[in-house]
Amino acid sequence: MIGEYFVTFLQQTVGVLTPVNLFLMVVGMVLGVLIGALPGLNATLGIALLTPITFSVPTDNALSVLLSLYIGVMFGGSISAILINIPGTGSAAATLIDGYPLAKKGLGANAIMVSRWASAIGTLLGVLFLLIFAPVLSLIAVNFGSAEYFWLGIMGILVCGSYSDPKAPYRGWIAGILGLLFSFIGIDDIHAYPRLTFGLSGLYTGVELIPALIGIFGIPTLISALNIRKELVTENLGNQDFKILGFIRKNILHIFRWAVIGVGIGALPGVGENVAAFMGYSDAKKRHPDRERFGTGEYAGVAAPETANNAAVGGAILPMLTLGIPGSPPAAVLMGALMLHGLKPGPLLLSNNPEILPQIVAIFFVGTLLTILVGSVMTRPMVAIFKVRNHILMPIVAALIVLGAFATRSSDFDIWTVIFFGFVGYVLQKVEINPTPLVLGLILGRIIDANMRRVLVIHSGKLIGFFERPISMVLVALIILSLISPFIDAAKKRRKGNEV
Amino acid sequence: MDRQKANFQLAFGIILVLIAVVTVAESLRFSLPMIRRGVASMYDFPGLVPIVASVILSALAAPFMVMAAKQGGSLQNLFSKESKALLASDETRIVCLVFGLLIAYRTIFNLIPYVLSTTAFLLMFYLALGVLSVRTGLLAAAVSGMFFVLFQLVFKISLP
Repeated sequence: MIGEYFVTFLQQTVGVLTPVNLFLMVVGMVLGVLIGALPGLNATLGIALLTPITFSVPTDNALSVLLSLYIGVMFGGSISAILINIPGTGSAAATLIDGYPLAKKGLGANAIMVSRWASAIGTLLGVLFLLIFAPVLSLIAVNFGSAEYFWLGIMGILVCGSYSDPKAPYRGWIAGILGLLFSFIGIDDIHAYPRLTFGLSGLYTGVELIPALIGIFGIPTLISALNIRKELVTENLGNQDFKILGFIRKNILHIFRWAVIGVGIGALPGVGENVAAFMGYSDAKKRHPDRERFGTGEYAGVAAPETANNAAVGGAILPMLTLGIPGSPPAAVLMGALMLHGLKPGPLLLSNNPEILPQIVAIFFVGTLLTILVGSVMTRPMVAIFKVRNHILMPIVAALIVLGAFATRSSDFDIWTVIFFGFVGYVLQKVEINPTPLVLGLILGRIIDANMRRVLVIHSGKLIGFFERPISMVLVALIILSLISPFIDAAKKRRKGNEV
Repeated sequence: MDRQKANFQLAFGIILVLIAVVTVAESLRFSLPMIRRGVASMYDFPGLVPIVASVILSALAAPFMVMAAKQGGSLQNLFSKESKALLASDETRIVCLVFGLLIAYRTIFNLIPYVLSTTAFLLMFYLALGVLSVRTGLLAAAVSGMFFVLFQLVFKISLP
């Protein structure tokens, strides 16, 4: 079986290396680095805006361009973090802690080189984990019944809510439940009755995922970017003379550990790359023999978050492909894109489309090499691009947001969806609620709804149906753990504080 | 947390409860006749999960509002001088501008050809942001044209 798998992987790698596909990957990577580097834009918005364009190309080409963009954004975010002290994406926020001090010392080019290589290695290790664990998880998931799907959906929302605001998890859960309510809009899966549509025919088919995501993440981003009044000052790049291979050799075990952290955090529903980057950074700082140097310009402080956030990409895709639960907001949009291309992420994806996993792995493999090549070519031009003012750029992004929403299914109603969810996203930002659980609620709502009612009908309303199988019990145990873990952590911190 | 933020959070908590109440009322409106007619049972009526979710949402909104009130939030403060000053702030102006222009763009989107509506949208945006010039005007036209070529002609997505 492994031999067969390896042959398929090689075939897919050759398929990825066609001139058209390579060209599309380079385009995706260039766009990704650009989007990542420009403060305010992020991977979620980038993938969402590019998705409608991919309708006209075959699914494998679409996957190539979208995944390359995803990888490119992860690296691109570090360029602005290092050179202008503003993270291009949330996942690069940890990179600037040591990246910017390095740039101030005239070592910007070296810091970006470390980021580039760390990103590439992180991506590669992340996808290796994906390759190993996806078939295993898929084998477990094919045994899921209605009760397991119900608990899986609940777990996704609760875990994502807990991680989105560990100090006050109820805020994340509020967003998750709001997402659930939005997902119930439209024709009901069991009785085919149009629910919560308030007479609007455009709502009969439910809330369209891609326009909703473009609104939630795009419009608040646009508003924040237009509110940036700060003049951007770019530090000098300096010479690129760091011995990167020696650094990698010396830190190979640490890099592996940061990648494991990235994959683990990335695989948690809705948690994603931002948290992974900070976890990687704090691990590097904790284990470094000279931890006081962190924050003053330490290369490991750049390598750790970049390895972790790129490895998190593989982690985030793992539950999306095998369970239908995205590990991060960009993975949620990617899931929407796969669905628009006729694929159904979930337990049956790998058995119905066995070519998809080797294909994704092959794309990531080539994408890793492209990160190093395209990244090194694009670093210097990016310095000039930072000089473009947000007031010039953001109206173009606004036009693209509307176009992206319309192009999803050529529907005017989807433009209203973008505007409405843009408002929801902005309000959530103002009351300091992370919108990621809302996205997860939007995706998982129908799964929870249909499966909960199915279990109740099968067991004549008796709740035992939710607890009678071992996998259900494991999921319930994980849910209880995710519910109590923020309180345990808080208690531990309080005790530590009292001891000090 | 500043008082203004606490005021907003309190108001948001009330909105959450209102959303929950409306959802429960609407769910009962369409579910009860279905149960009466025997089309749906007590275990699978279409409003069941929305009602459960709404009840949970109200329960979660309670600590949210309590925390906001503890931190000095009150509905009266929403109409204070501080709030009125906030309404006149730069951020409020940007928010109104973004949503106002998006709604205007949506309104003209299907009425006139895509290149014209998009150029007009970009020009209005640049004008409102105070960066309208010959260069940005040309940029607006070029970007609209480029989007049209890319989406309509290359990717075959039909635009107005």
